Amino acid sequence: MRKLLTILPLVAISLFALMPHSPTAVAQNAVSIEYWNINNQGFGGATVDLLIEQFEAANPGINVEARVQESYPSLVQNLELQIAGGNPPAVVQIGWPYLDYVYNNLPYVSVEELIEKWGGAEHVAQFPENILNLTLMGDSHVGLAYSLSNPVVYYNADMFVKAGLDPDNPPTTWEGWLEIAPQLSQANGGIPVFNFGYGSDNWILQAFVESNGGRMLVCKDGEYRSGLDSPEAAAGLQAWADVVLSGQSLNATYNEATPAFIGGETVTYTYSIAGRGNLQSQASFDLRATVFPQFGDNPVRVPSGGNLLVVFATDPQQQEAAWKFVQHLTSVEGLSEWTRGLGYVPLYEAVLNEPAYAEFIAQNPIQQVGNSQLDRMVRWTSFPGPNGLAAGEVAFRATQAALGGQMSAAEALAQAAQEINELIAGQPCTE
Amino acid sequence: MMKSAASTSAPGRSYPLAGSRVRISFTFSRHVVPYLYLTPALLAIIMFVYLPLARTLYLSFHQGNLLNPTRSFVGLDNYTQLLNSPVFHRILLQSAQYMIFSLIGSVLIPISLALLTLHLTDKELDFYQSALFLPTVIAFNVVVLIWAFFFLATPNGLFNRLIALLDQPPQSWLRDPSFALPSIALIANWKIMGFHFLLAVAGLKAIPKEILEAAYVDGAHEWTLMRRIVLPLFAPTGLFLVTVTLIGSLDAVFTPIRVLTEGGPNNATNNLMYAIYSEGFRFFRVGQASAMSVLLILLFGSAIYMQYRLLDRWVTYER
Repeated sequence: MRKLLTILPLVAISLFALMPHSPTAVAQNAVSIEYWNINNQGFGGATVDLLIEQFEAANPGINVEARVQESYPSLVQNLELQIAGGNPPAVVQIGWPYLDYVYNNLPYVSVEELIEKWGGAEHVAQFPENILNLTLMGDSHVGLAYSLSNPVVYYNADMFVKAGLDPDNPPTTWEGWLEIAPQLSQANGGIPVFNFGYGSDNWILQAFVESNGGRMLVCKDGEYRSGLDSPEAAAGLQAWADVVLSGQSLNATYNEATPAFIGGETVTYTYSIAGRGNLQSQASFDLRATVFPQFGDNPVRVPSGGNLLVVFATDPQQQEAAWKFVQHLTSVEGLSEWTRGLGYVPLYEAVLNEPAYAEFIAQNPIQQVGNSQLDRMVRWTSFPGPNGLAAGEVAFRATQAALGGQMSAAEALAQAAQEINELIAGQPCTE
Repeated sequence: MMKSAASTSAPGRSYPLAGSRVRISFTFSRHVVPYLYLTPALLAIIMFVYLPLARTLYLSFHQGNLLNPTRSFVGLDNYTQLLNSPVFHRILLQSAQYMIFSLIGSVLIPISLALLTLHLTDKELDFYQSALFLPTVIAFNVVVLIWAFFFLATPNGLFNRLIALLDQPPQSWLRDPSFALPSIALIANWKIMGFHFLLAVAGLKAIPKEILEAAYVDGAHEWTLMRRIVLPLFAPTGLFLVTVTLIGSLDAVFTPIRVLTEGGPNNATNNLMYAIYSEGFRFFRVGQASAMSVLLILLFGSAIYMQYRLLDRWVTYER
């Protein structure tokens, strides 16, 4: 009996070892690919799972493993280490500010190469030219545009009512907001009216700078130069700094800004339309949104947030599976699911006409606000060259200095422009 | 004639056998065997310490990222850029500030608290040890999240609620350069203080009671006891605490910086350790990150050498 008891576990272990215990062992010629994304469960994770499930059901033999990364910067860090180790993930969401870095430094597979090897030209042809151009670097496309978002002004309609203001007609200009801000604050216990959550990605900075007529980056004498030392850029940042320094706006990063708005500690929250799903599920008040404000007569220019899908798989089987998966994610059905789940704007016409999406958009006025800004979207600035990421950090530091009141926006941006120009010196451009 | 073994051996020792075999055997066992024993450890140290150090030094003279095998040689450019950069000077200054905060929060306060416990009963001491040690066992990320609620910029932040009682407007604690660095230092020291308190208590308890009693009988007063007996005998523990605190001071604030401020606002919470991380893994500028690492090693190495030279004079070791 004792002998039997000794042998039994050994037999069990041997049997377990021989059993096909992973999906790869079940299917013949199965391919496993990794999909790196930033969609945790609070930010579209469930939609990613659903899209993978649909893809695997339609493509037996391909297993997709989603790997969630903390943020775009940490994703690129880990990607670099993974590539250095010779084991790149198959499909990766690359944040727009990292496009230049990926183009110059990482061994991606271009869309042209993927089409040549595995077909799919008709799928790519659905994308309008301006959307395709977002990923065009040199003479090839680094990846396919996937997530496109823009900043909208979410607001607490209940607080508008409390202040005796019409929540159906929120201001659409900066001047309009400044006019009603004291009334809104006073009626709601003196809380800050504005809340521009920001991070080192310079996304909101670009919206302020470019909507005031400035530019983050300009092309001068065949070389990229910082555009931050212009009076227009300074006016944009100063407008933001003024409301922060006067206490009318919260000075908070993304992590602090979202809970503050949800918790009723600010009247508005200028944030990505991609956050719509999350905010709607959490807000216990009448949540609404309006467009990013216009400054004077300047046209509104909002940076396109989000990411592109880039293939890094080197193994032919994995590469083919990765390209199939990218096409699934950017299909009409895939994009409909994606934009409904999170709030990103649709990439091409056919998505707008997809029945589920059309029904959803008719019932969701907040999403309509994001979609209405499509023609105001510009490329999210990616500073060029090997020091591009460090240049972005310089702009972020200038923002912090101006918002903290240590320097005027003009001083901070002039200093930053000088530093950025040194960092990106020699990077060629065409007018 | 047999040659005396004593003539071939170490002074003061004699061996019964003589001859070349014995000499070889002796030489081997005396000069080679110890190194054979040391070899595995030496190999590990060479592989995991000295080779990476040499690689860091090599990279500091180049420009490039982790992936690209073609790195351009830039000589001392990375070093001159750093040494001429006002941002780097500020980072150095702030690193020193973090060290000073650490010496206060993780050495001075724990030792003072430990001295205060000298008159407590064992039961009371147990209570204080447990209470103060608790933060040490909490994961650092959790500690940072706890403190994030204290430092929230909104009126509902705990510190903002406290100052609201004094009719003060809410502060952006972590976005205000004058508050940000002390706030980050406070988090790190809160986490470490309990452990250092425990070490200080152990150091104090190790002082032989007989010496204290004898001095007391001889008429020494409390202050004299403290100055002449307790502090000198506590000095080795104190030196240890100072050393580990200085070495770990920049490391200790890394997690709060990474999670809460990313070195901001406008570099106000940045230090050498975080700057190296940023250069290497956020901006992928391996050359600059390596040059900073080399400077950090030189700075820490010389600081610790000087610290030993100076403090060794004051420290009394019981032998």
